[in-house]
Amino acid sequence: MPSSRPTRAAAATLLIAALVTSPARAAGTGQIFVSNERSSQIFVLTPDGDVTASFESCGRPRGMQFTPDHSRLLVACGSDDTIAEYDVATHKLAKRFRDVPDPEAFALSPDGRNLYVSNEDDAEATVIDIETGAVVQHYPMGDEPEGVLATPDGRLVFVASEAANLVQVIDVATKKVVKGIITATRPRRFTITPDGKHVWVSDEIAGLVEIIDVATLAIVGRVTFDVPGLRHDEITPVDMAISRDGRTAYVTLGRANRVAVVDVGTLKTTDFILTGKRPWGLRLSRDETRLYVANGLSDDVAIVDTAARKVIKAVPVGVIPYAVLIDE
Amino acid sequence: MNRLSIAASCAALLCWPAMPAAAEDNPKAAGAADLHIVYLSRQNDAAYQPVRAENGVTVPTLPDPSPGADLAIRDTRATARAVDLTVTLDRRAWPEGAPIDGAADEIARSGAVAVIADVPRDDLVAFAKAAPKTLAVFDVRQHDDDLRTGFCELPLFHLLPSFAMETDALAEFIVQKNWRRAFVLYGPAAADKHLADDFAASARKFGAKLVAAKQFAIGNDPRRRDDIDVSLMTSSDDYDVVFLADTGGDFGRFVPWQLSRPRPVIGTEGLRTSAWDALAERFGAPQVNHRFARLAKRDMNDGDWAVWAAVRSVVEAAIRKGARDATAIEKSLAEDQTPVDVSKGIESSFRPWDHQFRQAVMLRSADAVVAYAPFEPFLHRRTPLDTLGVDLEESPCRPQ
Repeated sequence: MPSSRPTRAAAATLLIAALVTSPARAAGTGQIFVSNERSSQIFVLTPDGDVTASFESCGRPRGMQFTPDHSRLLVACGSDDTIAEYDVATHKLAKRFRDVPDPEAFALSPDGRNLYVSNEDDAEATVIDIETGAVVQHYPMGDEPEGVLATPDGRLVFVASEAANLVQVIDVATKKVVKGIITATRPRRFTITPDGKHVWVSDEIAGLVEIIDVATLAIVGRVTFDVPGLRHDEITPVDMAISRDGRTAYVTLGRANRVAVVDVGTLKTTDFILTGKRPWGLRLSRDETRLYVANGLSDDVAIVDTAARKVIKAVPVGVIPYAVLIDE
Repeated sequence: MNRLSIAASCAALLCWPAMPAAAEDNPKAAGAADLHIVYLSRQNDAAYQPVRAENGVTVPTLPDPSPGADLAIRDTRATARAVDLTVTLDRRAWPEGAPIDGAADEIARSGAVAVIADVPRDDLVAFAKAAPKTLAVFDVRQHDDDLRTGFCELPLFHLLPSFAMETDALAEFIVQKNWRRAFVLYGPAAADKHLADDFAASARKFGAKLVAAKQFAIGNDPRRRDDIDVSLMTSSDDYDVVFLADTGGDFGRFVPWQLSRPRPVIGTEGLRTSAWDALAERFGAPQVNHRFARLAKRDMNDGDWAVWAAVRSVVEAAIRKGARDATAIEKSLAEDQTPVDVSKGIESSFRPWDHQFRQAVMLRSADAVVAYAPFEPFLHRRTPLDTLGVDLEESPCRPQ
């Protein structure tokens, strides 16, 4: 896209801005973090799948995210009612936000200041100031809110309420819920296309992914998964990742034991990769040659060669691995 | 009510011309619309009275399951708001002794479109027969097979698994465990015999073998020890598992420890079936249990779950299909088989032929939900849930 190519001066400015706002990001330790909800451990892997460390975390760690500078790892710990902050380099506990009821997933605002946390039990999303730890806002949600996504432009926050079959959209500036979007059964997670135009939501029990148009906040498409030889109820999509060129999406299919490869342009599934039992969280490496998939019920992480679309290694980790995060 | 639903679908067409998929899935009503549900019970219903302890058998008093309806309305509130739907629930306790047919007209006149019928079996049948076409009736209490096969023409939806579904769940369990040889022990009550017969049919259906079926008697008469002494009764040919049908629950308490062979017991002791259990750990059940416990200050049981699932189903039909009257609700649930998420893993829906809620059945021990039926080896062309209970071909009922 020549029209959008930055001038040399602009590129230099961008580079400086990147260095100023996220110094650690450029460095990137290359560590791959895996939360294990049953054994309450975080495993640390090299890109080749060697386990270099594992440390005991707070209880039932599930959702994870880096701070924008990648210096800290935030972990939602459901059984401790805590969101914990670990130092990415030393793996030491740096901070805890307590009294967050049963957190599972959360999103950090792009400026790194506010944590949007879904509280499954309270049908609420709470906003925590990451500096002070104070709860600065409550939003009533549908029941069992889970997946949370803050758009990179900092304008909107999407929350999926799995029991209510509802996605609610928070306008960050006005601090209002501006839209309720009815989805198919059990919406769980989000991802956003690189151009910021579409939010994908996975509907676990309905077995599909719905595409929300960010401009109109309406559902404009869906992805279905017809795995040969499997029944509809064995397909339970959860986590998603989209390549930076916005062309290819990867979706873990839970009970189907596969990751689906989706052509974003046509919304058609082009391939299925067997990864292990109940694949849950997944992440793409920065160079997009590798996909790391947490298999919840076989206690391992599958490393997929994205070109060959094959698992090249399965790395045993803790009990019920949940999410994967890559520091690069 | 008809006018309202027409208005709603017109609005859907007018408002969302560019997005057929979205319009189809969430019709938007013009302005707030009401969906009125009545929770019908009987004053001083024997089912909820304290049961006197007899011979050391203490049966806990069954709690009123209506908080399940309150929870369902709370659970669906945010989604209903998104389509401008207001759901109201009205509790009616019909006076003791008064014929229940009288309730049908009165409830219909109140503008209600659905009735959650938490009433004894005879009342349920009488009410469903008297109910005008403007009411959809939801049975949240009965497991009886004949209610599913004998009243095909009534607008009656059944939430709890039928007895046939429950014994099918157990038969699937023992066959997939390869505990195929079953010994059946049943009591003197008619319900015991029914249960044993259901299990025998389930065993045949899934390929388990009945080694023997013996009726026990309660007493101490040494001359009748062949019918009383469990050890003697069970010392015959070998078996892998004992199916016990003792609805009274007295004799059965001791059976697991009186068998002549150390074998697991299923049925009314040991591994039992349930539509729902407060101990369930999977598929989002802990969240539902937690919400219920916070609302009702007690554990959620299968009756509470049935009420919750019934109200959820009605509201789901209203939200997804714009159903605002009984006809549209029935069409959406029975004909379109609108999926309802009831936190048991697989999407549930009503069978079009007998209006039975198809669902996973929990198998539980005293302190855990051990497994969910159906099991993987058993396949069905529609959904594995239809391996449980009476299938279309076996049912006298046909989709209407």
